[in-house]
Amino acid sequence: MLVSLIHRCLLLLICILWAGFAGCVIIPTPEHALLEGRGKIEEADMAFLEKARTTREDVLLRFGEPDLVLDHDHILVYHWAVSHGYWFVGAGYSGAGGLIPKDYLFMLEFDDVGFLKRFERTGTIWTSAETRLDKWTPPGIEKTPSVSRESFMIDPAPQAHAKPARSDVPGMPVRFRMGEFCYRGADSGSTNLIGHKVAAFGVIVADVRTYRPFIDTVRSAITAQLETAGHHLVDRGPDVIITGDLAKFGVTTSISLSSWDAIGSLDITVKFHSSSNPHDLLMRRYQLKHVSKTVLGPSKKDFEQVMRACMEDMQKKMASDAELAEMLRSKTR
Amino acid sequence: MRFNTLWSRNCICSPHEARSAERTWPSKGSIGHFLLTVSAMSLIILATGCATPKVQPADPQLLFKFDLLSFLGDGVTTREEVVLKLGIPSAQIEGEKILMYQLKVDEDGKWRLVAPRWNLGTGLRAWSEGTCSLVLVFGENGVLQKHSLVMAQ
Repeated sequence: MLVSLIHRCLLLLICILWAGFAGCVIIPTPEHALLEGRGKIEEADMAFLEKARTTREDVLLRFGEPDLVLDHDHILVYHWAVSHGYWFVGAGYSGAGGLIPKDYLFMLEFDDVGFLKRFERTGTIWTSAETRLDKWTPPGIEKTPSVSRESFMIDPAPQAHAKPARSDVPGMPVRFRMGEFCYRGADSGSTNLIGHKVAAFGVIVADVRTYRPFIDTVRSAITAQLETAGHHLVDRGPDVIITGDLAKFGVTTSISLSSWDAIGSLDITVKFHSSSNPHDLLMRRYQLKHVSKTVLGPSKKDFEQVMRACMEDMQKKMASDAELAEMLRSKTR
Repeated sequence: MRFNTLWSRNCICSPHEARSAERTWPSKGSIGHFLLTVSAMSLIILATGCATPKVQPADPQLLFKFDLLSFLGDGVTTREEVVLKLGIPSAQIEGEKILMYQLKVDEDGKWRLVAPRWNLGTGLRAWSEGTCSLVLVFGENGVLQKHSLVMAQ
């Protein structure tokens, strides 16, 4: 222990002297700090792996989402990098320095049935992850994974308001149930992709997505508005059933000479059905649009803001709709 | 009389003494260099103490503490429910058998789903600090069989 300490101190001293007189120095250190990846996987963590017995499922449950999946799920790759030293170059009053990264790859190959065929954990400061991956993977497989563009995840749900006390609600509260809400927009391929950030010449630089499916977000906003108005959401025995057709819920951008704007649009038809008389129907179409002007390009917050503003406008229109209020009042038992 | 720098022996002395002291001590350049080196070394020693987070499964009970994930139950929750509540997974393997989501605690201390990111240079996943991976394994009937939340601690 003492010898090791003396040895380290001597090494440190040599490095300091070297730095002082030579102007260039490389200082090796124990591995520390995470530079890339989610975290390290140690040799001991791999003890449970057994060829032809461990399944892909076991590996994923233990180590989580891999950093790369190749050859139709046959190869899983985990990657991380740690700091393994420092380098400095100095001359007079100027100088430069940086970290020396050590790149780790933990690669696992599975057979057609999903059992582990082979695995390897390598770490080096000399060769890149790509080179080692190329050597390890069988020839002929697709090495370049599909690289996605940036994604903005937004939560456009309007601010929640406190539910009023029963005494604050004018008239009797209505028992309502949320029925089916359908999306009838042009692009119905994704439940949470609501648009793109588009740069000059129509180049898409980012996708804009909602955390929850956007239909759920709209439904929740309508529910929240009715609850704020004092009505009760129920599963059974409703006075009113509410359904909706969402024609548009999305964002886009517009570039002019002076600004790069985020535009949010909402177009929904909400139907209020009487549970006792299916022909007693009140329809409302809410078409809303909001723009946020930016100079350098809309951020996640700008997209969130325009969509939230659309939803809040929809809630305000519902709140100030006298005919709707009358219809709801007439349905109370 | 004036206060001199640390490098002129940290004393109060006359300008004459100070000038003679400057002649005997190392030049400003080498002092600066020495100071920089010592500072750099101190920072390195401090940085070396930073632990590297380790990938490990979280306590299974932890899931029930999160509002977002409390609906998950092995043998109960269906894939449809999961996709309706959590949206598109960040990755899926073996078709729809294994779905994975990325989660992170936001500034308010609430768990949020995180969109996957890639390192555009290497094509490997890029993780922001504190991101966890939720792995959900479904049976042939579409019901959740096993799940695990993998964290880096």
